[in-house]
Amino acid sequence: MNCCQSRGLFGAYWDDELTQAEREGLEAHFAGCPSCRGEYDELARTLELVGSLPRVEVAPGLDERALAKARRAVPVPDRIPVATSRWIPITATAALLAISGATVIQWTGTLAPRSAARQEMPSVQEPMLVEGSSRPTEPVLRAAPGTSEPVAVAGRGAADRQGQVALSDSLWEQGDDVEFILDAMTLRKGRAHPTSRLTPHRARGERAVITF
Amino acid sequence: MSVGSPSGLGKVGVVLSGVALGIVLGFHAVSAQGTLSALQTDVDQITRRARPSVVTVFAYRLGPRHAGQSGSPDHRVRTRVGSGVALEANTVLTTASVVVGAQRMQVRTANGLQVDAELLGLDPIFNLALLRVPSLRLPVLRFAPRRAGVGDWVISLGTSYRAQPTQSVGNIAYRLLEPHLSLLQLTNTVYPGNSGAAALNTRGELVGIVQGELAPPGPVSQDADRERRPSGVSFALPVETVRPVYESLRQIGRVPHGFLGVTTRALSLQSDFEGGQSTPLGAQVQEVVPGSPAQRAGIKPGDLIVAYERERVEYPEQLARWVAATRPLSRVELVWVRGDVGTSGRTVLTESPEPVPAWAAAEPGEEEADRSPVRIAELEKEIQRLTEELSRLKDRPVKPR
Repeated sequence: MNCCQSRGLFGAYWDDELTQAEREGLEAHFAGCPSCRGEYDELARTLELVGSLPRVEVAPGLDERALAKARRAVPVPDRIPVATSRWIPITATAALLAISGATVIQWTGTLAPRSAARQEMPSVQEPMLVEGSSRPTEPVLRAAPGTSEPVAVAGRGAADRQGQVALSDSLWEQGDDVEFILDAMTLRKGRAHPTSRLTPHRARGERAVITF
Repeated sequence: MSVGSPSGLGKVGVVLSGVALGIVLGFHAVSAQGTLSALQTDVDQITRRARPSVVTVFAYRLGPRHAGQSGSPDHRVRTRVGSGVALEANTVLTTASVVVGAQRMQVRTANGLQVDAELLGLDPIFNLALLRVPSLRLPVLRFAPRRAGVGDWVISLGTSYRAQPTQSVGNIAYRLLEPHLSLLQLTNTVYPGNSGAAALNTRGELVGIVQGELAPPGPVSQDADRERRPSGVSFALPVETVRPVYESLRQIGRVPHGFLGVTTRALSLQSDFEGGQSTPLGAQVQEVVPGSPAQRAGIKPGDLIVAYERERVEYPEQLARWVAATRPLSRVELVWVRGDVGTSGRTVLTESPEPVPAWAAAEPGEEEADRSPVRIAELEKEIQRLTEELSRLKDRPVKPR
């Protein structure tokens, strides 16, 4: 608060009509400005002298009523400027710094924990052999002599200590003896028609006669 | 600094706007990178958790040896390879296509364990089979609690050549609605050996079992595996169909099928103008089983069944499949034509007397018969007929109007 502002408040200070902030501001100014303090004391003395003159009696309580009504009708604005235009760029810069900080945090927060999460995925339960079960082997089927009955004989690829079995060589190629299954289906009028090996020939086609 | 002057404020404003724009654009780039990274991470997490539940299924059987082959005199071992999904610690669901007719089965896990499996039950109508692997303890996949809808993301996990894992991310493009036998059409790429593979949602729950893929155009050669390229359109049996079939196979080893009690043959209309073209009309009834649901509905020999559960019937096999897929004691609606009059009626299906309907039961050696000289002669005759028809159509002069 400067001297000019403080002098504008003298009358209100005398009448005890200042806001708390104004009062504190003015008294702080008085503490550092003997000139304003002296000027105010002079004003106070003058007013006291004027006040000691004989008074014309009016209706009792009229002055209080009039003052109270005036106070209610007109809100008193704060006469100390609370912000000036010089704060706008400072505030904006602070806000930008805050946004930048948040962006950097977001960036690092998006990348770092995600990549960490990829390395630290929860442990996955792996298939296990039941205790006491026989050691698995690669299966080999043979026809029993003179019949077409299948007989399982001892496999070639024995399991290692963890029970893992190497794949048979025959499964590495796609000869007639090994078939990788994926049924081919045809679409017709919004319906899928499986050309599945499951439907016997006698049930297919126009000559099929079937009971169901 | 003349901050308060209009020109100074303007400069500061321009600088601040530029900085703010840069930050916003930078943030967008970072967030896009973050979204892709998040997607990759989520897919990785789902597949890492689900992969141990997906197995390779080997089905072995003895087949006759081709003439001229050396080695064992009469027989050779034929192996079918598919995928399977663990639904309990020691049960694996796969497709019937993989294990039908097999004399011995094995399951191989993602970490290389390979053990014998027993067949608990098989159903050719729904193309599912349940295996028991007593010597394995597998982590299980859960069924999705809700049916999947069009547009939902799907991750398919299976195995293919050399029991190597396959994985594909796609979504549900379409629901092929048929009475009691719907299929999901997926944009996932699937590979030979993926029959029985898992189709998972974004929570890692099972939404379907992969059945097959769209057939490549043109005739399928016997060397199909060698020539086939993934079509990018695949099909899966949805979980709402899989679940009751799985429960039934687990509890009683079979699936109860509906029974209508008719013997039918196909009826089609030959086109007078387009040689060789015929339009299927429906299933014509030849016989009706006395006391059967069909007789109770009023169906008689000679009637043409044209609709079932508000779906158009074109072939007897189609109707037979829908009837078999319907639960016994279900009330169904049929439409049939007698003379020129269409009639609709309702009836309650009974249970099929056979565990697998007789028409769908494969006879032993039938597949081998596919390669027999008789079958080859039949096909050659058909090719001859079609070739003649084609040349006739090409040479036909255009009729003047």
